[in-house]
Amino acid sequence: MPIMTGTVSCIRVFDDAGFTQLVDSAGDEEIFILWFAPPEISAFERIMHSTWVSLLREAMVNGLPVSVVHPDGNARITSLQLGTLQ
Amino acid sequence: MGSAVSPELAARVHGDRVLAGFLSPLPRLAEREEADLGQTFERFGQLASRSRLTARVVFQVRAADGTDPRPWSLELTPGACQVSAGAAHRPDLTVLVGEATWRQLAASTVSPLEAFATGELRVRGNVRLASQLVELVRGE
Repeated sequence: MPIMTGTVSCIRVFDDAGFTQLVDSAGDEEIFILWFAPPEISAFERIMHSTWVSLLREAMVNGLPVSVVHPDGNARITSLQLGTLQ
Repeated sequence: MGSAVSPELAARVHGDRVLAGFLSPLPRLAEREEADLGQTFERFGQLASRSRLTARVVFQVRAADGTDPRPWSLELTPGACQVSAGAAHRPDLTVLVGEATWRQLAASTVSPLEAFATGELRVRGNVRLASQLVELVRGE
């Protein structure tokens, strides 16, 4: 699955939708979907989404790069990473 | 495709200066949903040519059979838009879209936000330009 790495320029959270906008090293922006009108949502997913927002906020405040994984041709994030495993 | 955007969410997105531009469908770009893709981009370019924008936009249209995406390029200059099949060097904006989703957009049956919500539409580059382009094509 494709990975985009960039800095966070925006986090937008509604109760039934969440978006983030990243800017890569070439200056290209892309809006990604954190969640969007899920018909059903589990407690686990709520916690995961909350954790994503926390990581994005941390990255945005400190100017740190994040990596998002998403399906090919699809803007929905499946996982999000701040920092790298050493 | 059913509407992925509830009225409540649409009302909230309406206040977002970038996302609000994607709420309404494009005008019909072809008489039939199965029209030649080139015709839809020609029409899109024709409508976009009413602007004073200078921009290079590439649409990467992905077929359902998984073959390589087909690129279409729009070269916007004030009062004109040149449309060609093929990629462009260093586009200001790249739109990645599935063919079925593009046909629905061109038939005015889904809005760009609905297409984006399904995940079948990605916009890379100057996101504000995407919003401006959509508004232009709608004649706003």
